[in-house]
Amino acid sequence: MNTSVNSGKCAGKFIKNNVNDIVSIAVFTIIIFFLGLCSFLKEDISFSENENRVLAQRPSMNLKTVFDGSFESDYEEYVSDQFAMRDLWIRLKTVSEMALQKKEVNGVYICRDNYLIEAHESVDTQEAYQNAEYMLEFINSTTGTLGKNHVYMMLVPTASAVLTDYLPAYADEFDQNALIDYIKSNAQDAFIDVRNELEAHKDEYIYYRTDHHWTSYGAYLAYVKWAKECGLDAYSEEDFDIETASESFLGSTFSKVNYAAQKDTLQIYNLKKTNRFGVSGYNVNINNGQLTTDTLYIRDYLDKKDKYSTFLGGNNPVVTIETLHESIEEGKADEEETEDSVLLVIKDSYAHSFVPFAVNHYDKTIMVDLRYLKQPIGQVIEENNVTDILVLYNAAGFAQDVYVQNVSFYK
Amino acid sequence: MVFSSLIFLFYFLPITLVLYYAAPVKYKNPVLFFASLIFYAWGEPVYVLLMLFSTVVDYTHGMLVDKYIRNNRKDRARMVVAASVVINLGLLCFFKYVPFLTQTINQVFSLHIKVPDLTLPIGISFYTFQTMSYTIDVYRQEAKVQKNIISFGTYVALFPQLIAGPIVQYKTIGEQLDNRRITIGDVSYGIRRLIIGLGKKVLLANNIGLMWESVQESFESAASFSALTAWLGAIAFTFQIYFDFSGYSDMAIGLGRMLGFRFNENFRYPYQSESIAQFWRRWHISLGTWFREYVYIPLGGNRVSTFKWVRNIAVVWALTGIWHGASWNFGVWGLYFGVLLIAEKVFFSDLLEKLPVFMRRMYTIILVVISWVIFAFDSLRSGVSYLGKMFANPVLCDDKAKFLIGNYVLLLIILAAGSTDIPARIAFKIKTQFGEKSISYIVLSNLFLAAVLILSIAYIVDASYNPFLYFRF
Repeated sequence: MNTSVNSGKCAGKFIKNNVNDIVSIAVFTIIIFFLGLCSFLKEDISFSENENRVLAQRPSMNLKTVFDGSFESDYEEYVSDQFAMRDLWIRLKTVSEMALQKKEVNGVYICRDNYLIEAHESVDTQEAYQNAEYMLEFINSTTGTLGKNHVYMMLVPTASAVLTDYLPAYADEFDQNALIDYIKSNAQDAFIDVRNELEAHKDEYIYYRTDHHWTSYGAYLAYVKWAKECGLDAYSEEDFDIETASESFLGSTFSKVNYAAQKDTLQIYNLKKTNRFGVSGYNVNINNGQLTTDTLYIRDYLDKKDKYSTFLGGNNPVVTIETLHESIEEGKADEEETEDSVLLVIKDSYAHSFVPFAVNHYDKTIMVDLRYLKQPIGQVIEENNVTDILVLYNAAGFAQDVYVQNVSFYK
Repeated sequence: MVFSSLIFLFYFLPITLVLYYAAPVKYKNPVLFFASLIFYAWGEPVYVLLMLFSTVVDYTHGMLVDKYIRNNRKDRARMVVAASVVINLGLLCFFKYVPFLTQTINQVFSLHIKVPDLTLPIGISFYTFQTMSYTIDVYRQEAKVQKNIISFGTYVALFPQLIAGPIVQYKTIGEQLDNRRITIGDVSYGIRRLIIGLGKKVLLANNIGLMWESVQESFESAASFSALTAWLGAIAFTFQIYFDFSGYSDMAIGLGRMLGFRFNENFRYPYQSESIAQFWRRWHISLGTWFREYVYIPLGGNRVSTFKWVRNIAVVWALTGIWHGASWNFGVWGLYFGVLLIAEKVFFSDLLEKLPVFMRRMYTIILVVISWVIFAFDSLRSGVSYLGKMFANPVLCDDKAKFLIGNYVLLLIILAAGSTDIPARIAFKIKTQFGEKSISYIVLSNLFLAAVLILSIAYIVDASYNPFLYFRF
């Protein structure tokens, strides 16, 4: 009895004398054990929608991988990728960097008016101009076969080259305008310069705040310019029902910093039922039958993180769009037996919100992505009786895209 | 394994500590020894054998030295010490300098000897110095011989200081190896040091490292590179290496304390030194002590003729330089300090004393910043060209410099203050103001610790950049 009372007293005294030490140990132990257990018990996730990448899985262990050290490094990657509340930790890091007044976090400029603009600082200039050479040569030779006014190229400046007032002071950006000027001066009439159009509307919503793409409106402005240069009669905004498809879009620049003060609005331009050229519908075929649908907008993506993929289903090797016309037109076509117009778009994802406008002027449109295309581009042109070509990239992406050189194997 | 990794903080450390605290006294060293082997083998699954070899070598050599000393055969004991030194230095030289030497020989004599493809075993520069110190200390009768090979193995492999120091001399912890008590105060002190060190490394060093990296990129690529950018880069690296290495030492000292060991301090606010001599008494203290005790003083130290003293300084500083790595810039970096130390003592010690403290500090830090430029570039030519951009540059300022200042000004202020004793003084003031046992002090100090730990975890989870500079050595 006595001893237990005594030891009780002793324990009380011990705690009283060492409160600070006990609290420090408790703080450390609780944080480490709580997070450790959470991560340990949490089920592994295979894909991060937020980061848009496959997460590392538990690596298998054998003598070889243990001794060459690959098991150890794979395991560390696995622990990091599957750590509890991963997204929250990344956001915490961004917020603290912002508190430190850092204007650039993880390759994203944190700008006024809630813009998160992708930074392009360490672009290899030599590679950029090499890409320009590949593409100029391609344009030159295809112009030879398809004829003048049938091959065009558009290089779209990204937000960091247009919304320059928004960038942090003295940002050391890759000079997209110089690259555009260079290609323009060499491609001459084949180049469609949309800079003035974007510049004139830069106070409007032409780039997303949390994504590196242009908005549907930005793409529309470029479409009008393109149609004019090609001698086409562009649809006006009144020809569309403009639908706000989502008001909760958080795009790629958001994912890099996991922080956004304002979500983006994603608009869809639906061509009205009765329209000037009698377009009555579409047959969309993604990757030769992987997905066939009658709409340019894959609305399943509106419920996912990657909402920009609503436009023609995101990055795919080949997307074919047949544009249907009202039967009167068809009958007329049958009589005159005019050849089908086929547009080939060689592009990156900037084209996804542009092509829905362009398709209305062709019988068939084929979108190819050189990053994923297995076929030689020449074969695509031949097999589909391509009549027109549009090369459409964003300038910063074009400068860094190692697959641009694949056009040089076109013959 | 590195301390600033999730695998260490959330797997290795908690498991090891639970096993270690739960183990009865006689099993504590074995637990620590095997845990340390796993810690090392995680990053070096093969070279762990090399470390074990070095352990066995010095264990047996220590026993022999002790035997001969007790039998009054000092000559034989000396032979054994020499053998231990030859084996340890042989290992170190083979892995660290042979590739470099072959390359140099090939260059000088235009030969084509195959350059051996050796990767440097992690921490070899640290543990060979530690094991050597043991045998020498036993010979000098400054340390008792360790008869238990597990205890000795624990000393060599002890994971807190195994891969990046501090270089713990055997005599510092010889007693503690077999007889140590761990109080609650030790554990909490250790935790605090660990968290502070983690914060220094992950929050401060890594972030300013990004600035240095960005400056390096434009130095290598850009046509225009202003003097201000060059200075900002050099200052960034100066802070990076301090917070990186001293943060690592803090973590090592803290972890050691949690296990019941007391290591000596490795840094004492080196950037507020008032002379180069003082700088080297405050920077990487364990390395300076090692060279002083095992090289400088045996050579005669400063109690010899001026000529010999100059020679001693030159030898010690050339060795200190190349200890950091097998390339010319480290040799030049060491000799740079050797020359400065001689000049300081011979020519301007009187002059320095007449200067106000602020001027003395400026003098020291500027010379130190220059030294880090030499240190940072493996190629001497790049280093010299970088110095040229700092001192003889027609372009004083450019947009890059302005952008860097805009981005990093707050961090730079924090780093400048953080590398002096100001934070410690503030902490002390708060402590005395509130009273160490007051609720407000306890809440405040522990909230701070929790915040640093949580922020550090956030930075580790999203770590694209997390090198340890002293891993190369």
